[in-house]
Amino acid sequence: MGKIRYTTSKALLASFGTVLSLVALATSICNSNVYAINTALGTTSWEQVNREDGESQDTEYFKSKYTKIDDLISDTDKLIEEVVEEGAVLLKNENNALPLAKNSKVTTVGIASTESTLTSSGSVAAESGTGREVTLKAGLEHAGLEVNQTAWDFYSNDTTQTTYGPVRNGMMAPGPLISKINEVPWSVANEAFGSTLNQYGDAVIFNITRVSGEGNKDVNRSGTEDTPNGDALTLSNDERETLRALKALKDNNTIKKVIVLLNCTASIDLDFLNDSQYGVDACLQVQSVGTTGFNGVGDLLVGNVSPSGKSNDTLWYSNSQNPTLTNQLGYEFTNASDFELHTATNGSGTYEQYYVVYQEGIYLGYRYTETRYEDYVVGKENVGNFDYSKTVAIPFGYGESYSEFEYSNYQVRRNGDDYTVSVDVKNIGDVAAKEVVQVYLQKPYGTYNIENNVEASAVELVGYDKTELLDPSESVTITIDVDGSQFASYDANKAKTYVLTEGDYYLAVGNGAHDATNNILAAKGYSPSNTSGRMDAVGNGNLAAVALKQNSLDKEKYSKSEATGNEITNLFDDSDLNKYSETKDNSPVTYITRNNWAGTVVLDPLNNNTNYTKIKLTEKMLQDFRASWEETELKEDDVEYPTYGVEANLNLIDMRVDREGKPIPYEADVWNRFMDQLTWDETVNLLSNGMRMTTAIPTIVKPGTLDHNGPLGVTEPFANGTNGLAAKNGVDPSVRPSTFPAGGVLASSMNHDLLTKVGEMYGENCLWAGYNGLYGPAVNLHRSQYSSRNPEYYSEDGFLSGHTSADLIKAMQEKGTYAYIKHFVLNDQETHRYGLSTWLNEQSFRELYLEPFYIAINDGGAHAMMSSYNRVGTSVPGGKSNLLTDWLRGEAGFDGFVVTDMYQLGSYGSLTFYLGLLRMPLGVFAGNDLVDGSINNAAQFDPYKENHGELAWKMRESAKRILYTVCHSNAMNGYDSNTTLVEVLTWWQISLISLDVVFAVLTAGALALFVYDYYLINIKGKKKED
Amino acid sequence: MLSLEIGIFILMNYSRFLTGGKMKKVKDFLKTCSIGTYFIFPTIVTSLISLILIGVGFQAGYHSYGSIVCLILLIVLDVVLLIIIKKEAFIPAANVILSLGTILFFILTSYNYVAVVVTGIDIENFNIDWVLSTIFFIATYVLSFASIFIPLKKKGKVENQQITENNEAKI
Repeated sequence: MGKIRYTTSKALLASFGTVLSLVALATSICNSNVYAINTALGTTSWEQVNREDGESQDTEYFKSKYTKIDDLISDTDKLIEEVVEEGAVLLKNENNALPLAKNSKVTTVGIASTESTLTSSGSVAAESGTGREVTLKAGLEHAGLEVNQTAWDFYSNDTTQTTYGPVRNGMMAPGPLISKINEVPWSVANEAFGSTLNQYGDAVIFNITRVSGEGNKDVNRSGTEDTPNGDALTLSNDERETLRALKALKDNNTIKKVIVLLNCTASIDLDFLNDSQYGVDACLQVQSVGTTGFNGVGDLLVGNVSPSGKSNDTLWYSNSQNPTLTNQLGYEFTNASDFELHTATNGSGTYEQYYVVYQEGIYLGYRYTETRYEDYVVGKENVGNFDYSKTVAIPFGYGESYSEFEYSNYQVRRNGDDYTVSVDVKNIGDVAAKEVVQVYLQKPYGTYNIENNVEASAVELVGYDKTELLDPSESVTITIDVDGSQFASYDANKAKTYVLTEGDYYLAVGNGAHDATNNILAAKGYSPSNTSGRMDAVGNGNLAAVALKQNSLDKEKYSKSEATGNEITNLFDDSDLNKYSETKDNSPVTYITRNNWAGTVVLDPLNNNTNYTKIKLTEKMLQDFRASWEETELKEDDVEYPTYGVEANLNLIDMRVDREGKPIPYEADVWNRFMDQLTWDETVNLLSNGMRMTTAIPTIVKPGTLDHNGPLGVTEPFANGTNGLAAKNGVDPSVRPSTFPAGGVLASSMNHDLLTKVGEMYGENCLWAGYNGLYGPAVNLHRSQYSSRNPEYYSEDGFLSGHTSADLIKAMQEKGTYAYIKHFVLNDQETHRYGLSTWLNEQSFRELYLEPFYIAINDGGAHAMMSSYNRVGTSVPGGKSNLLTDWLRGEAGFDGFVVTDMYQLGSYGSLTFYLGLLRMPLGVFAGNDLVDGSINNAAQFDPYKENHGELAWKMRESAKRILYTVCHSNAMNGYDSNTTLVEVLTWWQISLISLDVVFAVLTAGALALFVYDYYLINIKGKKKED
Repeated sequence: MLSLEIGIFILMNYSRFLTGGKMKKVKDFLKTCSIGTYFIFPTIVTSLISLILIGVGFQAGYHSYGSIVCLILLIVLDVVLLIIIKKEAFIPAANVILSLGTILFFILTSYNYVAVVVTGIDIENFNIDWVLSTIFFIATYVLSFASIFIPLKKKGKVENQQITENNEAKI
């Protein structure tokens, strides 16, 4: 009996101890994720109490125009269709193959006809469907087309679905992102179709897809089994065979037309587009189409709507002709093995051994192709071997229509330092259609440019606008303002500021960058005939004009920031290897210059890239790498600390507007009194917990906020946010918002009004889902076709990216949702994104990569931003004061707050990965205000409670930025001066605490029993025995 | 690699113990063993496999040094208590505590891994060694827990044990 009891006591102790340990661990984990759990369970840790004394007032500062979720969803779905209708780009339409006659009988082919691409992975991915997804077939039928059911059934059946379709390897899995395209061989498909192609042969619609997305890997240029060269972004052998077979069927009149849909989130080689062996009649680029976008595709194919999208990127016959790919993925320092580096092999860790050099300088995308083309046409030396007609399949900004437009009465007027371009646009076709007027600028490239390496592109986009729907013969005058500051170039070498170099500045319009280039060439007197055919089309010199004749160098006019008035000078010498002080071991980087194309453009031979810029790592670089984490302590100072914890009876809502209802400005004195109320702990807590939220501060009645990671809109169920209208109105938790098309589709629409509607809808979705901030838009550039993140981003062009985002941001913020523009900055690829050391010259940094952020801030009014994982030069952006303080606040005039990318602190004890290596106090000191994480961050501020007054003031400023932004957001809906916040325990917290207590008591009891039994057996019993 | 080296070291020493003309000692030792003692061996084996799995998957980021320390301690303590100082009565308790520690560290690091790396990104991230680690960690714990209930020595073979069991009978 005793033995049994002794064993039982041991077992009880082990059991209860085990459960207690597990419950305690669960409690700890849950308590560090209170907001996330509250979001998931629909609970809250703070209770808002509104006292009834005083006058009642309308506290819905940001209102939804919807009263029912169904109406919101219905309008969103219609808007998605409209976005595709306006953003899909008609790349080719030979012999008016499109539009198809309504009631045409068509066959959809390709495994992607049923496995089509609605969205991509990562931040923009919805975890599951909405149940409202429109298939390609449904979209075509919606437009009145009759679809071959036999073919559809074949591609839909389980055997086909499991046997074919792309083979992808996720972020942690070894191997390339797309290891096999795995298209159904034509022989297999054709056999399944039987004779149905005869009956449904009015057109065959071949849907081709490539899906990329967030996940640490870029699309692979080698290693795909079934493409001719292993490149994932070229047609596979079976896709080519399918096109050849369709051509043969067309030749023998079995089918009439071959239509290709590019349902790809990455731009593929267009070598097949005009190759006669493939016989493509029409090609429509739709990218990812969102939940209901295929309805829009159907409308476009039958001509219910005429295409009006313009290509957001340059599309190449072969991507390999893009010189940026020579320095794209990231490369290992040539001497990396000489150092002990933080490394990881599976994509989850920080990389100290990888770097990339933006060797192309400003010549990215069309800036390269058009500039080299112009130099070729005018017969400049050192142009080298370049044939535009074999390089560029679709120029940037190009797109066809079912109608035609005539431009006339082109005028450029100067208004002070700015310009106004106007042109009459007439629809001279037979169908109603819209047209985008694009304005391009050409800066001079003269002696000063050459001597000081100030590069100038042949054309750059400086304005655009879309017409309303124009009926046949209808015309409209389009007027576009061009900011004079666009004319300036950044001279990082001599003037070290923005300059106007001597020469003629042209403004031109055209259907894309190439058309505009030819128009400028025509204005200069060039034609195909007088250039021995080097000019590939007759330009219209009437659509280009000299806007400014600059007689001498001007380095004063744009040497001060328009936003802040501060002097502008070099800030990023530490990101240019040729200027970084400790790189004497390295050869200078040879950036591409138009003064010597032949000597500076290096293309990447596919599968054997040894031409990338090679760099050695130095001790100083490594020291700088780690300065934001391991080896730097902030210096002590004797600056007096701010005042803390004063009772001033000011709540956050009191900071919104003054007694007259005017917004209280950021600089107002009352903010100082307000900030004096915060304690050190409240400040630290606010800055240290930002995992898609900001914390509540009851003493100033600051509500906790909930932010959402959705660069293309809301992806989580509506009822997730407890403060959302959906939760308040009892919307079923399974109801999900619709998914918007890829960023490229939004950009290609080039329609400010449409984008305003999209931004407004993002805001409406956030109001219903209870989100106060949205992690997006994402305005990094499409530097490479292979960047997996491109579906979130907008374009290879900074101006287009910036204005696309600005339209969205303005409208979102009108609905009270603050937009976190991201990823600041140079997060232009996924490979090695954690810590990739990115080097570039300051001219390209400012004119290309910083431009969209500047526009998003100054034209969009963005109030929040996310810093990125990679390094700019040697430093993570979140710890880089020249970037976050000197440029972002000092030049761009940003008055919002900056959050890190997710869990960037890396304070995870024994874990082998660190995400970006930034310690928060150092981040705050540099200008990064908040961390997108919630674990162990607050303790990092403990060493600075004394003797670090400068940091304390910066912490206060960071807190103020956050509070100011929240104060003007929809988070304040329902709050007035009488509102208080009361902390409450949620049911799950009470349950966990109860479990902790119960098992602690049981464990203690079992322990007592065990000790007693042990005593009886091993001590008392032994004594008796003795 | 460390786990492999420890495993090889233990196996080599144990095999020397079984051979080298010491068969009588081995036989005597085995005679004193009960079924409970044989329960310890698989615990050591699963611990060793767990260590190897950690070694294989360590770079992935969901293992911690805490788990390694717990498992090495478990193996070393078992060998020391069982063979060297012959205090095998303490083995089940030590095994339960250390295998539980292994699991707790594993849960914590896996949680951090999920929270840090996986959130918002494709859920294609757990390799087979994570699944195998989970299975072997749990197996080690279950074996440790089960050994609490099973006598470690045959009755009457060792004086100390006899005394203990006599005492147990008196409770």
